[in-house]
Amino acid sequence: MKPDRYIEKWLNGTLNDEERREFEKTETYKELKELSDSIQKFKAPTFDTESELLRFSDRIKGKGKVVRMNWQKILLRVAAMLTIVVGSYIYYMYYLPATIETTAAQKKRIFLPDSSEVILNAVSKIKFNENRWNRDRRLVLDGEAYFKVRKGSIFSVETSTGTVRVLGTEFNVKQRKEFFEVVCFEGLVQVTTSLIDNKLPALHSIRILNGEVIQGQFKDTASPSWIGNESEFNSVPFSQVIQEFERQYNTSIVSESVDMDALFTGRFTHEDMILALESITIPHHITYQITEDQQILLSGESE
Amino acid sequence: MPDNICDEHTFNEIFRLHARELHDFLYYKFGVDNNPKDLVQEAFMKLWDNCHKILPEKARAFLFTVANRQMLNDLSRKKTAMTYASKEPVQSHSGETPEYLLQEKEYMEKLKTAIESLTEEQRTAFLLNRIEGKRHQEIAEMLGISRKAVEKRIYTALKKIQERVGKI
Repeated sequence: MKPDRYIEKWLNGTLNDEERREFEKTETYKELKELSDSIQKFKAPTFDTESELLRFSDRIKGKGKVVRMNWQKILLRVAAMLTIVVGSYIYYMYYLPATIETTAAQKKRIFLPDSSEVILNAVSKIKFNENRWNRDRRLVLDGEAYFKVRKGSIFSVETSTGTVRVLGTEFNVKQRKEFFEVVCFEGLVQVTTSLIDNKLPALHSIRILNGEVIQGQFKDTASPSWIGNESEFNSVPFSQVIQEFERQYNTSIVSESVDMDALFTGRFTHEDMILALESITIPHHITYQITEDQQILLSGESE
Repeated sequence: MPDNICDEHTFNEIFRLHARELHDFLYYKFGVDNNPKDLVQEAFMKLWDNCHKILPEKARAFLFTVANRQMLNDLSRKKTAMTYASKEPVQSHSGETPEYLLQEKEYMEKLKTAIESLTEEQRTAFLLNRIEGKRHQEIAEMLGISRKAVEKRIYTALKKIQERVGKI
């Protein structure tokens, strides 16, 4: 074995007994031994583990438990927040339908994105999605509205009773409690409810009252009378007339011994309450009274 | 076995187990003037900051990896200085003449300069082997290099020292 190999093995402490005896005889070994012994004096100073540990513990306590904020975590949080904010914004802007409402004694005219016109009667609500109009041509109606649809435009009006589908036409939809009426002024509409699935041509009307379907016809009229600030009724239960009156004048009517199921045919104006009141009471022989707090008392002539 | 070392008891045990070796390692690497004790504290602080993602059995490797990467700031870095325990005169043997003591002092100074002149890598491996009696494999693990490379470093270091010190 070469002397260098001995040194290598000696350095690694892997000389076997025989090799060591052999190596220890050499001059090289004596030199190395001396050198190695001297090097021992360079030993690292003693390290007091316990006192260093104490020092370390103090440092941690002073510092507190470090939960280092990872920049990725922060970035992720910011991104998540942005997503929520931007997402909600987009949702509100594009997906949440617009709602248009009228209160008592109020009418509103609105235009749909395809320039169709909708006139909303008092105490009514209409919902539609302006930004998705091209894909989702649905309106949800609660109350009464008159539609003047641009020629060639298709959409549907959904109410709690049924759906009205149209193709370029003018029609009126009225959905009030137990009362549902569609009046077609021009063109053709498709009326679908649980009871019927009818095509309604111009100058025809269909009414559902307490589960009963009544079809009607009328003479040439350009638009429903309420557009011209008059409410017109054709064999409608008196209760419906009173409700409409309350909506148009924002009052409350208390009635006594009045036959609410009696059918009323006639009209009342939206512009003069006394005149309107007389229009609906005189034909049915009802007397009225207006109290100090603007409440209207109606009484029949039974007594 | 806990899956991290954030628990105080576990962490203290790891400190007791590895702190001294880490200190020796850093001492041989950077010398006495670069505060090896503070470097030990720093390494353990890094371990503590990352405690939740380190398994107990990985702590040692983590500490030595940190120690190997610990770079001293160029401006604040001091020259790597070694120090040796000098014999006190009262303990000197009867046969040791003043002349001999002087010779020995000269020799130790030469040896000190020789060790200081080694590269960081050579010195760390060489002194861990010669003074701490670490086997090549152990040193290889501490330095994160191959056993063969450790062997080469130690051997080169020895040759260099012999060259500089010469015969006594």
